[in-house]
Amino acid sequence: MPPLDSVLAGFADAFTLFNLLFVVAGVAMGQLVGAIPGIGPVMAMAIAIPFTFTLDTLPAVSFLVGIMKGGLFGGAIPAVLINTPGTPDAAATTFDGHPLAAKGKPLKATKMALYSSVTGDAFSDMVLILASAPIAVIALKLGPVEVCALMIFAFAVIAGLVGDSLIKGLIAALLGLLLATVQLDPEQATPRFDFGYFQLYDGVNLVAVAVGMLAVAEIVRRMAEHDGRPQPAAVPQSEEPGARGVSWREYWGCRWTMLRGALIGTGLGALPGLGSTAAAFMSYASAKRGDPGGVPFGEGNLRGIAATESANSAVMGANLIPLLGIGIPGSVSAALLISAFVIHGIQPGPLMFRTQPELVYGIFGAMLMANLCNLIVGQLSLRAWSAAVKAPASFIFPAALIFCIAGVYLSSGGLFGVSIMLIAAAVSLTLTAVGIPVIVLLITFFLGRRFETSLSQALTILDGDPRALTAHPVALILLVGALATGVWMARRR
Amino acid sequence: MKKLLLGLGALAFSAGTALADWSPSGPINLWIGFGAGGETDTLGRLVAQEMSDATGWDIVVENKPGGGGMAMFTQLAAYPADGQTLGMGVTMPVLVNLTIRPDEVPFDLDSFDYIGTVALAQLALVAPADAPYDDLAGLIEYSKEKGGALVAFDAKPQELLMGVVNAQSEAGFKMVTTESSAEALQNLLGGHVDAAFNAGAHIPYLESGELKMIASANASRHSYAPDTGTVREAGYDIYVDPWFYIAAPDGLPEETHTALSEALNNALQSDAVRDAIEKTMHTEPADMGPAETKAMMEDGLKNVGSLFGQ
Amino acid sequence: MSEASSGSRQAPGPGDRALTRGAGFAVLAFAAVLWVWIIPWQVDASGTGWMRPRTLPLICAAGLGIGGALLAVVPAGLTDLRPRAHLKAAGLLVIAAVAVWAMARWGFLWVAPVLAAALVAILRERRPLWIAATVIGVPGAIWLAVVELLGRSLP
Repeated sequence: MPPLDSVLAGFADAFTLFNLLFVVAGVAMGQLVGAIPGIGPVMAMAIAIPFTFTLDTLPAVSFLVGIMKGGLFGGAIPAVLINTPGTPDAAATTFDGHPLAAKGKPLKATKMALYSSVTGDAFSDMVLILASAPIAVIALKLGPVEVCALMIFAFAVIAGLVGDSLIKGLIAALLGLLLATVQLDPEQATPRFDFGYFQLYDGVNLVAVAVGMLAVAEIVRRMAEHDGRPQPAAVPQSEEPGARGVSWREYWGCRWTMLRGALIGTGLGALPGLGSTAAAFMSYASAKRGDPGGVPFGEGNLRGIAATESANSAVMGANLIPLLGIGIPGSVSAALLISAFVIHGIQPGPLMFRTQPELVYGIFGAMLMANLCNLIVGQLSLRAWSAAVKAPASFIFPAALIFCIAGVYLSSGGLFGVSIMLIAAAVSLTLTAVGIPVIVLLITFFLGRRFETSLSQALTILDGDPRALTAHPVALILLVGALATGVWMARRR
Repeated sequence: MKKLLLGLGALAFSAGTALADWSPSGPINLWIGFGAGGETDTLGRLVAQEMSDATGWDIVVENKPGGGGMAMFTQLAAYPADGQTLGMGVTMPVLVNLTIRPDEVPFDLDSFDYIGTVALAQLALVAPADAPYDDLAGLIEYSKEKGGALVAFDAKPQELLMGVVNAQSEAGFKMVTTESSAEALQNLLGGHVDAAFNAGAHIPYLESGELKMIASANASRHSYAPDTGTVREAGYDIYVDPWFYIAAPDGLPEETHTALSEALNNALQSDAVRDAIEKTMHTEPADMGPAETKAMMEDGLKNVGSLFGQ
Repeated sequence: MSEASSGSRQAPGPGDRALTRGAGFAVLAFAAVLWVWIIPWQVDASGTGWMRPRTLPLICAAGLGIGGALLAVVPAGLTDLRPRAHLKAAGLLVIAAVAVWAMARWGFLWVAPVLAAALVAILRERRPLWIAATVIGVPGAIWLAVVELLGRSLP
């Protein structure tokens, strides 16, 4: 644990009006982009990063954290209102959220989503704040061998959990790793797959690939499917009592569902690479199994909303555990957060607790603030976001595409990055068409460089002798776990 | 935002006094060979700000990352030599590429006129404070006993330098590659490697007594540790000197070259730049002037050649 | 999103299987080209340590080959191919690519409104206010924020 005074100083840094301003702006922006199907918080973060250059580190990170958290809830709004998830992790919210809205209770459904999102998020933040300092101490003891084994374990779980075919997951994972080898190799520093472009010596730009594969591909797909008709109209709000809000009794009745969702989200989020979508579906499925009766699931059960929203929101805080603990991203947004740190000259990892404790606890303070702001901004602007859901496609998609071009130009330093973005979008559309999960590719792409380096380090340290692994029991357990997970996942299908 | 407003203010109030006979015909572009936020970017933006404050020139900073500056210098070499376009980079990646891939690199040292240097990164070999060795000779001895000490590095020249030491002393070092100096430090503090290279981030740990410095990898000793010898002093005729420098396309008119060099030199005298260099790199500004910079690049190329055993 | 579709899981049909089999052969062919031609051409064979420059690329190529072959033999999982929409999406990407090429020549400020106008026309928007907002408002706002406020440059 860092000295108490720097913990307090960090929180004091966070709780300033100046910082609050950026948190509120971030949360509002995150909720807005989350609420518009097709453009998600990932795109908003990628575009916001170059705009945070001129800020100090804490307001910059606070702003980005605000976008991440705002997006967690924002995605639920169109899921409830027009049966279209604003972000992939809100897909399971449509199952019960939209039926409830169809019964004339859209406000009740969105409010339940908001409260459970904030609850799951708060739980996850508390785990992060309490656990990360001890974890950073342990993480320092995790050497390259253990980190390498941890990544193999994470790959096994990701490839097994996402998508509907293990082989397709594996192909996606290998494509991501291959894409990560486009750059100087870690031992000899010779260029690989550069095809004569010096820009590729440092690898394929991360922001360009993320925005291309997630945002541009989705924008183009939605534009292509757009048939000129206006968005489906949202259902009118019924005026009967209890249709506009969530009572304390209803909220409290979901407490175990939300706790289970928060635990699932936090657990999956703490593993590098596992997204909130998997957590949301898993939590929904387990809530459905453990349902005591009443309104059936899929027909507007509040517990269905609580299960998914508490789980997908709990992922975010826990995602920062591997980020701060071992310096590897837990998700696409966490990877973008790392690039923002690096822009400000900070290398995330366990040493941050030593060298910049104020900043770490400042970020924690900002996360708590963002959580509260999510609740308040969400309460106040539900109606505004409901209107944003209805903005015409002919405005949203061209605007989003131009934002993507400008944002990637700024953050990747040129039109070369923009070209990469367009190629990534084309690849993403092709892979999605044949059912290869793009998100797995992205995660292994982000982790690939670190994986190759730590494999190289581990082999040097072990002298290439697998028997030397006996001196690294933690690594051995993780490798056995990876194997067991792979077998279990394969049989579960 | 604060910085931005300050910058705008400074621009508005700067008096337009040029130093020499030359003045630019429009904004000067200073290209940074690295992404935004790195050391080169931070330094370059500060230097540009100071130069522009003192001369009244409009200097626009632009990031052109890729290949440790190779992408930027490739473009720069093809630009007209009118003093309107400058590039800032670090010597090591350029010299390494010119050594091992001369045919693929579309420029050579003569493709540029050198405006001057900005600073020298001080590269140290460090070890845990409780390690049973205090200098390079001790580390070599330890490595022989243990059957190969693990040494972490984050750039090719560091590995090559230890390779030269290895060849000469038969120490049998095992080199562990890392992605950043922070990661090298993390492995050192976690006890996973026996020694690591670092260029500044290690200094707080020297002060807290957790680490000790084994050797300076530069040609000279470090300002903050005058008692620690260099690798050269230990008997291995090898060093790594990463300089931050600014260059322009070859063929600058005489007075343009002088004006730019003087402006850079004056900027480096300012307290703001000195503070920033001390804070980000734990070293001080050092401008060698145009002629010396060019000589340094040529010596550096020979030195990197010997690192690669050519 | 493929991830989203896993929620409403159905059994793969014959169309899925044919497409997956095709994808399997494509991945297999890609792996072969990678192994035989691209890796020897683009990656150094040098190196002495445990991880040589070619080690991981070759592992990936081998794994992709095996995965592609498996997919071709036992096609599993769902697909999501909509020929009309995918062709139109490809066309939109080509328009964007042309716009990016044009930006390198004539600059963002001139090309972005043209791109916006083209997209608005494709989406058949008729209301003048929305057209103005998309074609003039968005590029103008980005230009002001980036160039004037942040002092950074756009193409």
